[in-house]
Amino acid sequence: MRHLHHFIAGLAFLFVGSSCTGSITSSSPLREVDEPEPAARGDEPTPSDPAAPNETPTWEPVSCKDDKPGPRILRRLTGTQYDNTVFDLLGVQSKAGAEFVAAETVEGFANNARALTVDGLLAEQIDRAATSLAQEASKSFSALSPACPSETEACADDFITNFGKRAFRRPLTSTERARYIAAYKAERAAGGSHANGIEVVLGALLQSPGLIYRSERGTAQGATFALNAYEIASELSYLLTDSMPDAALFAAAESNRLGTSAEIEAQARRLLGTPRGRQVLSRFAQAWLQVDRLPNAPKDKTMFPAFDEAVRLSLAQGFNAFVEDVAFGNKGTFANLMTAPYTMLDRNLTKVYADSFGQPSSAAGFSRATQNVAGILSQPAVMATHAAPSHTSPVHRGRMVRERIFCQPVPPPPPNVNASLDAVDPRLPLRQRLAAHVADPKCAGCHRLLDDAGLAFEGFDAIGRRRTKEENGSPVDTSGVLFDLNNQDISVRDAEELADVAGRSAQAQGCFARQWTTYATGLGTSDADQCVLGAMLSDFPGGDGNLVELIIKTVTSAHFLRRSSI
Amino acid sequence: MPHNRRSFLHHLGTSFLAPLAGPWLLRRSAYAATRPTRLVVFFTPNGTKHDAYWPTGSGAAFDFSPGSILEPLKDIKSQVLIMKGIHIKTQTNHEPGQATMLTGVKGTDGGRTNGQSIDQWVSARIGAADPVPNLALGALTDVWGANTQTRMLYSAGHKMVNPDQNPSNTYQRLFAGRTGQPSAQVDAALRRRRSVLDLIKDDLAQLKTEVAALDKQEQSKLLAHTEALFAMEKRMTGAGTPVSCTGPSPVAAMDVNAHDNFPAVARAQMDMMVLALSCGLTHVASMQMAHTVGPLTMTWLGQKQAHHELSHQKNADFVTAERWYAGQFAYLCKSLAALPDPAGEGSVLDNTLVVWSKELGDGNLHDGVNVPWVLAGASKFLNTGRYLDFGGEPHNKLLTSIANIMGADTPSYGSEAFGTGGLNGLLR
Repeated sequence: MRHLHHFIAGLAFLFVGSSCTGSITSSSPLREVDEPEPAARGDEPTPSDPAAPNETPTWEPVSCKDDKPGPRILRRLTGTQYDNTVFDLLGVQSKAGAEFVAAETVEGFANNARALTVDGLLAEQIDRAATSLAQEASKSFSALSPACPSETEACADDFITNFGKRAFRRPLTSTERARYIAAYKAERAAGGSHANGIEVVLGALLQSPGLIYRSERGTAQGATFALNAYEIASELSYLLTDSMPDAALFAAAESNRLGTSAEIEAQARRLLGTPRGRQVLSRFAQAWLQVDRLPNAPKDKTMFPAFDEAVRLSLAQGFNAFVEDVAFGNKGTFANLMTAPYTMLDRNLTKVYADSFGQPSSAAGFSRATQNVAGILSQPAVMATHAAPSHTSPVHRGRMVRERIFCQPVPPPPPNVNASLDAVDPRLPLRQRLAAHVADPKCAGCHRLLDDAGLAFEGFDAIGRRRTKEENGSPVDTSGVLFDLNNQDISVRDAEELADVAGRSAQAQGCFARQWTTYATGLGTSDADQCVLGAMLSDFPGGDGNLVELIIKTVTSAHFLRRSSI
Repeated sequence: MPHNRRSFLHHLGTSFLAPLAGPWLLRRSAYAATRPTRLVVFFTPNGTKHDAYWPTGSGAAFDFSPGSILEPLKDIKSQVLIMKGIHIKTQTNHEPGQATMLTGVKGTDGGRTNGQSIDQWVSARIGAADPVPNLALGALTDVWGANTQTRMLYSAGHKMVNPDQNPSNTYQRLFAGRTGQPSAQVDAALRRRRSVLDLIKDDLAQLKTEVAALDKQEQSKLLAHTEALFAMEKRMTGAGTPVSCTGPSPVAAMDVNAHDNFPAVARAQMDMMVLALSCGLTHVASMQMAHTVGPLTMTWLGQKQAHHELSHQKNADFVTAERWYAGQFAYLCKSLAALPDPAGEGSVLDNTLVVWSKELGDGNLHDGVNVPWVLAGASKFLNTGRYLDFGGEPHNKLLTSIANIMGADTPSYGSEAFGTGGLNGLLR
């Protein structure tokens, strides 16, 4: 399924880019001397700034409609999930998880079950988090154990049983319970106080594999393994709320009312009505379109003095609000997500963006501004993320369109290509400067995919405001041709028309569903093959593309209830 | 009570005269006494601008042009070996270069390599008994997640190694709790920490038996977790930890992802790395400055474009940025040179091989030609104070030489198809 791109280097380079039309070959030998380079002449956009390779799944119509479940796995909590779980357990807003060492991104998402491991560095980070949380929380036992607040061994036992069940999202086994109470007693016997004993127990529970991993193993039942109610409860809650099960979901697991798709669907619809549940798609979309990089995307302070930290923060929140509004405010579809003609502004954003998009409908919180903006790709958060510090980058934006929207991987430029366009006069309009890309056959194959798709967004500057002139004063020109889209070349006049094309494209809708399921299952292409995904995806590209129903389809699929043996 | 730097050094000098025992001292070669006992890898991304980089002259008669990228090395000229004519031939471009740079192996599946980076290979041989067998540090390495753009170290089998980008973490890991002042309070805290660790080790052992029927990837996941806990236990109990490693005062918390803080993060990381190397906490370390491509913008220099963008424009700002990195390399070497080696003759730098690596030659062309490698230190062993042209040798030979300098006896490193044997002219 995935196209692999290899660079074969030796005395000569052979460049194979199977997803870029036209095979590109270069026979230029390795340069043996370092010739001086002609000086660069200005702010040319950098066309060679790929997202990490191997991050983009390809998409083909689902060919297997068998409802086959995926492998039995353990899924380590992400850093955010650790912080959220700690909050639900202790009521403490931990920041430790946010500072855990970065998780590996696989096919564009940092929640891949196979890649989420605990290495030496992370083990120590978790240990420090758990130790300091336990030291603090153990000081007030009555808050930890309100039902049994006295500082006795009996209440320690009660705490281990009840808190342990929530921390592990399942009842402790008798062995586990005995292990923890023995540790409490040993600490007391060594001279420690009740609080010291609780500190030991809590310090371990907060970093135990029982908390750190969520199990999706199941038990043998015929040819497959049936996930138990607790496993399903965690599967649901971490997907939909990014945290542990709430009380109602726990109760459903406890009374074994999560065994059927109908029971799961009812819980899912309930959770999707909660504030955290309504954010499920914005959490996904932040990773999908890399808006999670916005906090650290450098911007030129002299050029954009109004783009301060408050605006930056609001921009990400406004993006979330847009996604939530489309999906839940209007029971929206994929097409709505691509084309909804508004953005969400709060007071901070109004100062910077009202000139572009109009005044928001309300002065409180986030509300709609409805001028000159179409769909998720034109949201200022997306435009600002996919731009350089001081200027736009059609190549970045084009790459996002091809890879994230249409699942068409674009390989990085081949070696020995001068990637700076340094012979081009910076006073020329951008389109003319980029013309060098398609004039050079080594570049043309990929850049005909990238450049026009990105130029369509030239009406948005490097922080996502509307504009009519480029940085050098040339009038913007947003027209172009989307080459090789479903074997067609489609002309578009601007970002709005491009959004319209994407919204109506079965390929884009299928690509979206494919990436959603990558995120939802935590499984890459090698684990979640066409048959695992068959039931989740089979109707979506052909159906009306309702976003909430895609989520329901995912959580009621075979994979959500059962697993295959190896 | 935190020790100040002076008393710390004094302490080192008086209590650490005996050489550290270790397998790396058992050399067959006559060079045994002068071999470096430590390896440091220093990385900066996005290739270089050749016409602003290379010194003038050659051999021992070379100089740095005013304003050139390497000019900040002039104070340590006698301690560096500048290497031209080393090509990365395995695979080129940003991510492939970063993957093969220290492994000498071509990547598969989009760039990750099946090889092992030289620091990991060396630490498995000379650092296994250390409290920290391999100290991987970085600055601004995490904001784009962990992937082939942001990682340069590989343990083995496509497994990338994460550097620690947070000086507070580094401090906690290396130095916190090393007060050297035993007390009942410390003993009780340690007792509880051990008790916690025993619980989670038992929990993990139980989970391992429960998932014995899961596939190999899940098994290896728990195996890695178990190894991590054992390493943590070893450090916690202080086994093999030199008492003098009391370290600097605690590092102030800061936003490690803010570009403005990059210099402070890098400085804090390097300072702690130098202390850890000097007091025997570790013998193999790496410092990764940002990563290939990457968002880092040197805002503290007044720059408005990311380093990677500048690498394509190759303008004066890029040279300024590259000079800043060269200054960091010089700072690291000078810091190592400022400390007497408690375990040998001369300074710590005299017995440390420092390797400045890059993933590309020309950053704009994304090629592997004349990748700028600089070696430093190991002064009794390495042919320092030279600017040498190796005439187009594959970087695999350099990696082979590094392995052998560090005491191995290996005919090749990485893919043999790209060259076997080491480089001539490296050693005194």
